[in-house]
Amino acid sequence: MNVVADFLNSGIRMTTPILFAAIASLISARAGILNLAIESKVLLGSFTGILVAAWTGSPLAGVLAASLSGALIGAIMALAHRFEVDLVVLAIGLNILVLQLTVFLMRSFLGGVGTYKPDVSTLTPITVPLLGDLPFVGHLLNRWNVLVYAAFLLVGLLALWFRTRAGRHLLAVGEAPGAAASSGLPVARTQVLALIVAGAIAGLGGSFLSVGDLGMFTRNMSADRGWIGITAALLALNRPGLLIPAAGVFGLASAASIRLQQFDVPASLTQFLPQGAAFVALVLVGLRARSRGRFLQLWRSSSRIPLSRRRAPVPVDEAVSTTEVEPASAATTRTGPP
Amino acid sequence: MQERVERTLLRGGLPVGAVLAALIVGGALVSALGVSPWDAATTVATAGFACDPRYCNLGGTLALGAPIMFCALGAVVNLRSGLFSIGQEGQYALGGLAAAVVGSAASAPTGIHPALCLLAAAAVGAAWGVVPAILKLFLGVNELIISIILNTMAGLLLNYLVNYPLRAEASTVGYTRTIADTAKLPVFDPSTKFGLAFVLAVIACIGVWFYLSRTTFGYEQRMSGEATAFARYAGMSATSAVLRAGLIGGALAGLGGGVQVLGANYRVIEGFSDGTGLTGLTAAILGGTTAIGAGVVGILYAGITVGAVNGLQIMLGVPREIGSTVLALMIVLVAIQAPLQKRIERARERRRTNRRLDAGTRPSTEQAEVHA
Repeated sequence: MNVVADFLNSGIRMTTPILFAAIASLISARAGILNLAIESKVLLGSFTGILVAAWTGSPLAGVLAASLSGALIGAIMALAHRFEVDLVVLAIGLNILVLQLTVFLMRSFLGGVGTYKPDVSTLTPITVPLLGDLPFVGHLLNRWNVLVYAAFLLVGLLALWFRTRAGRHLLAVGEAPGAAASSGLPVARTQVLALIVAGAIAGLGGSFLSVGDLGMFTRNMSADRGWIGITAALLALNRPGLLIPAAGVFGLASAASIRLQQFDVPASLTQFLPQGAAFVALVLVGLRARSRGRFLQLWRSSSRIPLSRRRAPVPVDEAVSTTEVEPASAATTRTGPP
Repeated sequence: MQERVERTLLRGGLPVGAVLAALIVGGALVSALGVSPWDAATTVATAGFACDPRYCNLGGTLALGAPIMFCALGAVVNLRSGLFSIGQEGQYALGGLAAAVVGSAASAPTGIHPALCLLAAAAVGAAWGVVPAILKLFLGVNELIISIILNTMAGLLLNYLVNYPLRAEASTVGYTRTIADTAKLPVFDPSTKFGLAFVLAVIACIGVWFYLSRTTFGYEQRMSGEATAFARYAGMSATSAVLRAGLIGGALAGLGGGVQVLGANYRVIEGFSDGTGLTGLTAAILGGTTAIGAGVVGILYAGITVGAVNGLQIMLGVPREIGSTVLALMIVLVAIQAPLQKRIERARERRRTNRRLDAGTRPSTEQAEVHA
């Protein structure tokens, strides 16, 4: 029984950063922007978080700084979007930049080659007064800090917020920017704010990795969690109500991969579990024609790189027949007069 | 005439400005470590590109350039054909592994053995590279996200294979057996491993240029990437263009791994997938996704990497990641300057038209006043 509780406990802890990334992806997508730089926001968040925590001695200050650093990348993207910069290329550049820059800064100023482990306490786990003493629940709630609760609370808040006036406006901006603009909604401002908030949330996810859990920073600490978060948001069809189960799949798969290592299964094999889950999820999303269409729409609004598609919007037969008819009719008119 | 000069200055000036800005930020980072940016720049230049009779640094650059160029070419073929796959890293890793397996397990005469290894590398790379294309075409999966997942999977698969089934002998780090002497690619300069691999990369560069811009297949591929609607209207099959892009791009990146193993490493170590594919992708984007541009930027990139490792890190104690940091910053800044340039050009056009309109209308209004 306790084994199950412990497994769920670590699964939910591993879900937390993925859930933060998924929320960030969801907010950007619903505002009509394809945000592929979440990986960089998570990584920068975990770096800034541990750095500021070590500097001030307060893990909470680290969390705040992590969220600010994520928001900074969000602001850069928002500014770039206003100038019609190709967000896909920009995101690729930002992901590589943050990956290399954090290693450079760590090696040159923090003295570590692969890891940076300052003498700093991590976020204290919250002890729930009465429930914590129960047999199953006690194991389940063990080692959860404020960020774990915050991530799950945030999903609920987001679902509620999408039902308020301001939330509806955001959805309208994402769904039909032209219509939203013509009815007087500030499209550009909404998208800028959405990107900044998404960045801040992704940064929180990063701070969970460093300040919240391990108390150290390692090279490429985010390890694809940003991308898995994007996948989770896609799997949840960008609906807050489905976000927790979707992210939970990947969290539990990660927990299972660590569990399996205790049975002498090599880590390089067990880590296939979360990656394989992401693979299957992407195929499922692709099979659903509507979510594929939504994604293509997002891509087109955020990038100028065309993606070739197999299925033509105009039926192919028609296109072929019109091209064939034209020369034929021209030929008849030419032969007609004499 | 003057306008044309101004326009060319603007077109060339902004990208150059973006590159310079990235270099200035890099210089600032270096000087924060107490190293003069000028010293750093000259160190990178000498360690990456200088050549004296005792030890030719340029040889090392060109040797490292070969796999990067292959990966960059793979990225160019993918990106130009409307397949936004960034899976070069995984194709590179598995291609290298295939070359190492064929190089150590099979035996063949000197001339044929490397060709067999490269064929295996290309085949495995193509097989891995066509996965995102198939998933995109038949299951509607977005190729960008799936190719990142595939990269991680390839890295994990490589680490598993190198550590367990293909492991050479008991050691702390897993690696495969060394390839047979017959499988090694000829080397011109033994100290830097500069050899046939680079020549192959240059040939591939020209080949990809020829394929994309001088053949019907390549034209169809470019059109299905650049002018999707036109390609469809003209009856070109996007399906086969994207499949070809996945196969050719994957084969090229796989060859990159192959030449790295046959020309320099002679075996595959755990962690072989160390970012060379990603470096190639960066070079392809900075090279304007053209074959020749990607090749030239690939060599430059290799030079900066070699300069950062052998020059900055070893001689000046600056971590080598500064090189890739500055290059990633270049992608960001070059991406940002592109629409700015369009804006400035549009504004200049508007101003010019206004000026012309003003010049045209003013005399007539004056005449009207005179008549009145």
